[in-house]
Amino acid sequence: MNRGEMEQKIVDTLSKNKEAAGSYISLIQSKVAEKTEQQLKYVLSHTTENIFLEACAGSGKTEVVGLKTAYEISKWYSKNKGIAVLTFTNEATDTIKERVKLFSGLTTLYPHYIGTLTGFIHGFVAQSFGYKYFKHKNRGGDTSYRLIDKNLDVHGNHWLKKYKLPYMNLNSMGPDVYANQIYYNYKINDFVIYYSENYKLPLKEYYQLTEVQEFIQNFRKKNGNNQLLGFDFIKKEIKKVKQTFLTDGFANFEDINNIAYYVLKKNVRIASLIAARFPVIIIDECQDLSWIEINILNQLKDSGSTLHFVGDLNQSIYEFKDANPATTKDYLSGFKRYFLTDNFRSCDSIVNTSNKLLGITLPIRGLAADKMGDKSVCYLEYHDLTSLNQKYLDFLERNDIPFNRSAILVRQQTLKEEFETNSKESIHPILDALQLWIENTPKSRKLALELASKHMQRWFGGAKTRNNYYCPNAIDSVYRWRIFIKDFLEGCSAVSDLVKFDGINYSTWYKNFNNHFLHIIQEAYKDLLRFDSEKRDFKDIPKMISPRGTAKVRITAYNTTDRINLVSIHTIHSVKGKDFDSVMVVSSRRNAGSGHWKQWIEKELESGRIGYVANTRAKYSLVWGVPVLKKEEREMLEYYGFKRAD
Amino acid sequence: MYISRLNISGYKNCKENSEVRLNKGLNVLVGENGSGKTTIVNALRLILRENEFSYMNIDEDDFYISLDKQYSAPDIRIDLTLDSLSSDEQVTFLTWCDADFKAQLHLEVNSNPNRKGYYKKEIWGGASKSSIFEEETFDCIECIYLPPLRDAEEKLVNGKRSRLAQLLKKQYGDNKDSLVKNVTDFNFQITSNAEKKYNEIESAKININAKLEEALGQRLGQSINLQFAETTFNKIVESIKMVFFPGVQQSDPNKFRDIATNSLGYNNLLYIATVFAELELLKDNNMMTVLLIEEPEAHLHPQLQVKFIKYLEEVTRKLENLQVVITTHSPVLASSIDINNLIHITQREDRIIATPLKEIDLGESKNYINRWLDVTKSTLLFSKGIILVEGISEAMLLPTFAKIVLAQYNKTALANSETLLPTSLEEAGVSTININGINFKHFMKLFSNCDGSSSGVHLPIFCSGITDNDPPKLKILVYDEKGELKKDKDDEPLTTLQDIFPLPNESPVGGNSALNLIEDINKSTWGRLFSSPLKTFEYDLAINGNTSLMARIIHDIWPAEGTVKKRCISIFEKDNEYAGDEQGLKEDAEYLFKHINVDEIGKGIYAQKLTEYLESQIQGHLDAINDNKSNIMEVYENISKIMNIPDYIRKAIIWACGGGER
Repeated sequence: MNRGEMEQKIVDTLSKNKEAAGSYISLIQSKVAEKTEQQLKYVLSHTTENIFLEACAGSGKTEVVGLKTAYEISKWYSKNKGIAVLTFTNEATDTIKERVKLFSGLTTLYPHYIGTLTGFIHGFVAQSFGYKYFKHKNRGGDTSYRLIDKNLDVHGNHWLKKYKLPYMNLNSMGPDVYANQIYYNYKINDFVIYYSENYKLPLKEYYQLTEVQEFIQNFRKKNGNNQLLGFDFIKKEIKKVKQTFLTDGFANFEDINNIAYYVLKKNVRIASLIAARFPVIIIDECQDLSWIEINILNQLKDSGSTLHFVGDLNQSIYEFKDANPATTKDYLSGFKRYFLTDNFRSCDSIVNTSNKLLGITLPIRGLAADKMGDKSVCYLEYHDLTSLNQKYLDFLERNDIPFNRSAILVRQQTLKEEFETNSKESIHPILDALQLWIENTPKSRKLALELASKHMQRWFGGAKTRNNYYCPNAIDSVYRWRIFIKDFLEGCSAVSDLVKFDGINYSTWYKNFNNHFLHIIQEAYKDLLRFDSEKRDFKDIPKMISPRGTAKVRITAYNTTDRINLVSIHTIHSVKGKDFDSVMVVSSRRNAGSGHWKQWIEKELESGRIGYVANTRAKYSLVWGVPVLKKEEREMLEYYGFKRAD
Repeated sequence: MYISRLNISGYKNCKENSEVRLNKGLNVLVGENGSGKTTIVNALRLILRENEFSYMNIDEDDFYISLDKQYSAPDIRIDLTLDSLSSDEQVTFLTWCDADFKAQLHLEVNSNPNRKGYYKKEIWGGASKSSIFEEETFDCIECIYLPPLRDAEEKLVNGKRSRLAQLLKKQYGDNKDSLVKNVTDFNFQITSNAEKKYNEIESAKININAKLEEALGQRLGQSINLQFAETTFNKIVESIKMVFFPGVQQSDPNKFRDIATNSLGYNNLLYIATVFAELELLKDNNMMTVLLIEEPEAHLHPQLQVKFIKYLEEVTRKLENLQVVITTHSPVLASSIDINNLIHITQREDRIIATPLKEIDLGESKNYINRWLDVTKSTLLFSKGIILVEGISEAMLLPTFAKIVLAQYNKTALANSETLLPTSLEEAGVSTININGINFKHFMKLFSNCDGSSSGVHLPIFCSGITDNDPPKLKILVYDEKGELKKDKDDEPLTTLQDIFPLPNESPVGGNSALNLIEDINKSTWGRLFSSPLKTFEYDLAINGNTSLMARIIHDIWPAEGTVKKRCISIFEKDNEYAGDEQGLKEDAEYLFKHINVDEIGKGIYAQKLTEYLESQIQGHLDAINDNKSNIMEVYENISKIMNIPDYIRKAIIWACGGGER
C-alpha cells in the first residue's frame, strides 16, 4: 500500500457512517496528511496481532494512539465489547480521550474504555472480584478494598496497631512495621518490607541481617531448641497478619495488583470474560509497566486479548516501582515491532547529543526547528545554585527565550527544594499573602489564596491534596473554604497595623499579627462553622514568630512579578511527556545516585535513561548545569557536543 | 438474564432489609392494601432508572419514618441481583458482575440533601463500590412502567408523552428519512400551492399577510406562511393519532372513531396493546426488558382480566428476556394464573415479607390448588386472616359468631387493659373461606407443614380451620318384627349404620381424616386446625347451651303446624335448663340436629335464619351504645350472652384475628 492509499483508507474509515460534515472531513484529511509513513503504518496495523510500537521521544506518540483508537472505533462492530486504551496518568487519559473524540467525531466512547492502567486493574479486576479470593469480610454490603498508603504513619492512625507485624523490630531500622508496609512480590516469591521509597528489603534479606540472626540464635539458645524462629515460620506469621489486613478490607497499592494477578490466575472464567469485554488493549508509555502489571496484562493476553504496547524503553525511569526495561524488552520479543523514529519536538543537535549519551543506535532524527545553531547544547558550571540560576536567566535573556517556556530540571526533590529556597520560596506565607492580596490583581490574589491556604490548612488538621486551595478533610465545602481564606485576608487588611509594611521589621509585624489573629480568624470562621465536621478552638494554635534570622530585618516588599516570571523548577520524573523551549538540567554536586551528570552518560543504567528523559524535554535549547569541572571532564562533555554557554 | 432478588431498606415502608425473590418471566404481586406492592414496583423503577428525567427525584417522604416519627432511615438502599446471564450478557454487564457471575446493582441515597435539597444517589455494580461502573450499561436494560388508573386517552392521542409516539420511534429506528421526506414534500405542495390545488390556503395566507402589513406597516411587519405541521421526525410521529373501531377487521377508514368516545376499559386495553407492540420489537434487539404494571384490572371486566393475564403469561413464555411484575387486588387475576407466578406480599414489623408461592412445599396439593383456587378462595391472598370452613352453614354463621366472640374477648381485654381486637371479621380483614369438604390438607400447606410437606416458607397469615369430629356411625345388627336376626343371601347377619349422639362429657373418637393433620398444623407459626369435640357443627352448637335458641329458629321456619313446632316450643321453653338430665339434653340436641338438614328447611336456610336473628340481636345491643361509649362493657357483655359459642369455634376466630391461642 502506498502513502496515498494508506491516507485514503484511514480517511474513508473515519468518515464512514457519519453525516459527513465537510469541516470534519477536511480536518481529518489535513490531520492524516501531516502524519509520517511510520505513523500511518501503525494506524493501519492489525488488532489481531500483538504489537510493540517503539516510539522515540517527541514522536507524536499520543496523537498516533488517538488516531489509531479512533480508526479502530470507526470500524468497530460490537456493541458490548470494546478497546481499552490504558495510560499512566489522568492527564494522559484526558489527552487521548480528547484526540479520539476529535478524530472519530463521537461524543461517547462506550463500549470502549480509555483510562488509567491502575483504574483498569483496580476497577475491572481487583475491586470487582478480589473479595472472593481474599476473604473480604464485607462492609455493609460493600466488598471494596480501602487503599492504604505504605507511608501511612501509625501515629494518628491507631487502628493500624491491629496489624502490627511480629518479629519486625529486631534490626537497627528500629521501629515497628505494619501490614500496610509489606507486600508480596511474585517475581521473587517473597514479602518485601517497605521502609521508604528508597529503602525496601525482601524478608529473606531482613532475616539474614546480623542483628536479626543474633536475636534468633540467642532466642534458640535460651529455649534450647535450634529449630525455633525459622524463616518459614516467621514468613507464615507475617502472612497471617497480612491476611487479616486484607480480610478487613484494606490493601496497599501492590496488594491490589497482587489481588488482580491472583484472581486472573485462579479464575480462567473471569480472565476470559474481561478479555472478551476488551479484545484489544493498547498501553501507552509501556516502559513504565512493572513486572506484576506486565503479568496481569499477559493473563488477559492468554485469555484472548490482543496487546499493543506503545512506548520508549529508553525513557524507562521507574525502577523503584519495579519497572525494568530489560524485562519489558524480553516480554515484547514475541511482539511484532513498529517504529516511530522522527522526533518532532527537539532539534537535531539535541537529539544527536541525547542519542550519543545513551548509546542509542536507532536512526532517530530531530525534526524541530534549530534556532540556536551551535548554542543548542550547552553547559554552565556552578559554585552555588543562586549564581547558576542567575547565569541561566541571563542566558535565556541573551537568547531571547521566554522564561515561562523554560524549565530547570533536577533529579532529587532535595535539590529542587534547595533551588526553591534560593528563589525565595516564601518563608512568611501569611505576610506575603496579605501583600499580594492588597496588590489586588487577579493573578496576585490567586497567588495570595494559594499561599495563605497552604499555611492555614495546618490549623485544620491538614488537607489530602493541594487541590481546591488545600481544602482540609474536615471541611465539607471547598467553595466555603475559599471564601473563608478570603474573609481571613480581608480581615487582616482591615487592621491598619497589619498593612503597614514600610520601615517595619518582621518581629513587630508578627507581634501585631498575633494580637489580632484570634479576633480575625473567629470572625472569618463564623461562616465556615456550618461546613466543618470538627469542633475548633483557635486559642490553641501556636503563635507565629518571625522565622529564624529575620526578626530584626525590615519587611521587604513582596514583588510578585519577579516570582511569576521566574523559570519553573521540576523533578525529572514530573515532566514526562512535557516539553519546554529551553531546559537546564542541573547536576548534583557529588557523584552519587542518579542525580549527577556522570551518571547521565551511563549507557545501561537507569540513571542514563533519566538523563535522556530530561534532555529530550528541550525543543531547541538544552543546558546542563554542572559543578565546576576538571579539564578532562570538560573535554568529555564537549565530546558529546556540549558548548560553554558563558 | 432476569431479576432474581430485590432488597430494599430505608425506603417508604421498609425499615429493615426486605427481600423480594422474583421469578423469571411473570410475577404477580398479591396482598392487602399497604402491604408494599407499590413500594416494590417503585424501588425497581428507581434503581432501573425508569424515566429518569421526569420521575423520582428522591424526596424526603421516600425515606422510611417510624409511625411515632422518632426514627427516620439514614439512607435508602436498594439492591438488585440478576441471575442466569448469558455469555453475551456477562460481557455487556461485566461491571455489574460479582465473582459468581451474578449481576448486582446497588443504589444508595443518603438522607442528608445537599444545599439545593437534592439527594445524591450513589449507584454501583457488582459486589464492591470501588469497582468501575459504566453508566451506559443502563441503555442495555429497559424498564417500562404502566401506572394504575391510566389516563389511557392522554397517552394514546398525539403529543410528546404519547406511548404511541414512543412505539413509532422504536419501530422506525434509524430509517426515518422517507417519512420525513414525504411529509416535507406534502408541506411544500401546500406552501407553494402546487398545481393550484390549495387555492383556499393560499388566499388565506395572502389575506393574513396583507392585514399584517396594513396593521404594522412595512418596517415592523412580519409575514406568515401556512403549512401542514412541523416536519421533524419527532414532531411528525408525535402528531399521529390513534382511532378505533369496535370490532376487528374493519378497513374503511371512515368508520373509525376518535378514542375519546371509546370506553375507559377499552382505551386501557388499547394502551396496553400499544405497549405490547413495543415488546414485540424486543424480539429482535435481545435487550433485557422489565415491564411493571400496576393494577391492570382497573376498568376491565373479569373476562377481559382473564384474557389479559393469559396473554401476558404467553408473552413471557415466548420472550426470553422479558420479565413482568404486576401488582393486583383482583382475585380474578390471582385465580387465573398458575400459583407459581404468585408472590404474596405483606407488611410485618416494618418490613415487607414477600412469599413466592412457588417456594412453599405443596407437594401434590399444588395441582389441587391450581385447579380449585377460584375467585372466592383466592381472596385468601388478600386477607389479614383466614378461617377455612367445611360448608355453607359455617361460612354463613362464622362472621356473626365472630361478633359475639370478639365482644366477649374485648370485654375481658378492656377489664384487664389489654390490647383489643377488632369487633368483626370485616374490620379484622379476615375472610371466611368455604372449602366445600374436608380437604384442609391442600390449603393448610400454604400456612404450615402437614401431610408430609416440609419447607421453611409459608404465607405469613394467621389461618385457622374448623372441622367436624364426625364420629363413625355404629354398625347395628338388624332384627325383623319377630325379633330375629336378619340375614342376607350369603347368610351373613344384616347390619345397618346408625348415627351416634355423644354427650358433652364424652369424647368420641372422630372419623374425619382431617383430624390427623391437627398435630402437625398446630406446631406451626401461622396455621391452626380446630375440630368440634363431639359430632358436627350444628349438633355441637346445640348441645353447647343453645337448644332453646336453635329450637326457636326451627319453630319459626317449619312450614307446617304440628308435632315439630310443638316439640320446638317445649325445647325452647326449657331455656337450656336440664339440671343434670343429660339424656334429655342429648335427645333435644339430636332432635334439633335431625330437623335442620331436612327437606322442610335445609342447612342453608337454617343458617341464614339463625344469622338474621343473631344479627338483629347484636344490632339491638350495638344501638344501645351511648355517645361517650361509657356503657361499652355492658354492651359487650350483652352481646356475648346472645349465644354460647363453642370453644373450638371461639379459638378459631381469635386465632384468625391475630389474638393468639386464647
